[in-house]
Amino acid sequence: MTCAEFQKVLPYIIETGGNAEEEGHLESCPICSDLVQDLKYIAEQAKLLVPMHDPPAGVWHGIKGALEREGFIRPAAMVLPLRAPVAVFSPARWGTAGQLAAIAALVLIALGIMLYRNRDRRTPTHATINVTQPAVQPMAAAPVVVDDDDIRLLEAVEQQAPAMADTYKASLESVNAYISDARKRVEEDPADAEAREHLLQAYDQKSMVYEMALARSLQ
Amino acid sequence: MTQAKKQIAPGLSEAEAIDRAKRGDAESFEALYGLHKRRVYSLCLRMTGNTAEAEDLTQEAFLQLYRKIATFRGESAFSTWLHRLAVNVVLMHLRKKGLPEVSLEEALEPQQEDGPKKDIGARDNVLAGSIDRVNLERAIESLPPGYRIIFVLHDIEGYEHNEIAEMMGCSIGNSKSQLHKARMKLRDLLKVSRAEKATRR
Repeated sequence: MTCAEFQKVLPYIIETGGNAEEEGHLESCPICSDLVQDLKYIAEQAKLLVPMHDPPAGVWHGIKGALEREGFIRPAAMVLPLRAPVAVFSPARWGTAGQLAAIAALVLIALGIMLYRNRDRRTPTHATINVTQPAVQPMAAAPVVVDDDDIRLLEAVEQQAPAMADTYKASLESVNAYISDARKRVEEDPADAEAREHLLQAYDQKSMVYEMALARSLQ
Repeated sequence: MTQAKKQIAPGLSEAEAIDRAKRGDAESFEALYGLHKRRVYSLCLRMTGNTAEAEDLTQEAFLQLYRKIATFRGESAFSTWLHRLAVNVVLMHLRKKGLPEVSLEEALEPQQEDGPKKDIGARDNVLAGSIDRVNLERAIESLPPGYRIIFVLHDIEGYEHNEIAEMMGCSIGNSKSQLHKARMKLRDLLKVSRAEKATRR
């Protein structure tokens, strides 16, 4: 085997080793042996290179600015816990205490949603209060859209945890109304950061209802 | 250290930061940025060889991270997932630019200029023990983009040829061939650098 022939196949055998003829040439040829030694040495040294460079501070400012413009990020204080702050039980161990805890959590969520929605109506930020109008206006009858996922969830709860069905139904109706209100406000004024915030919160609440159902009431 | 236990801020593990970032927590996202920015930026810089492009691509990679973090299911390490995302951002950018300059589909036969110098009796010229990292970094930076990308992905970042082939849209054989040419080119560059260094003494 010549050096040219060996070097033609070298890219494909350098990591795995070649056949007997190729290995024989490698052992007998100092040029090809040096070459392989160098190439392996370069590869070994490259593996030792570590990330050395930090991006300038402007990169983070750019990222943050872009996320704010897109309405993605919000202050940490506004983030809700992923799960309701009650003890976690496995479905197999879920007894009366667990059911009560789940009901209590759902009631708290529903109550929170109601308070949030009423608070918005009691504290207008820029509208002039008309003294001839009642101070607290009744809540508008927001259309409650129950989508296919909601129906599937409620059907599953009905089958597997019928005692909870009404509670989940009420929670989903509340949270859907909240989403509907918040979405309407965003549609009225897409630049309204507070409205976007409410919409995100509303989706968070809905996600909590789903997570709770999946974690506690469904197999 | 496992992902679940890795602390990235007092009282905040990486896993918790990921969960919170999924829910829009800016501070947790910033903590994740702080943890991974160096590796992502270094990757972008090595692949492009250009600081301005590396900064833009780092920014784009983290923006994509934020948009896609909800899809992270923990099937691989978060750093692996983010790294792959960053590689894809860089490759997409390079494709838009119309590069790599070295065609990935060029003939696989070694070109004369890529072959080793047939200088019999030059056994004392082996590189072992003579490379320092600064020289190696510089040599990598001066590689043609097509060679550099595959060398960075394989030899520095540890991707396998099948993964590179998938990302680059080329064959595994082509990836091996390009890597070989990149190493050959580096060998020449490092030998020149060593010779210049010896002349200065």
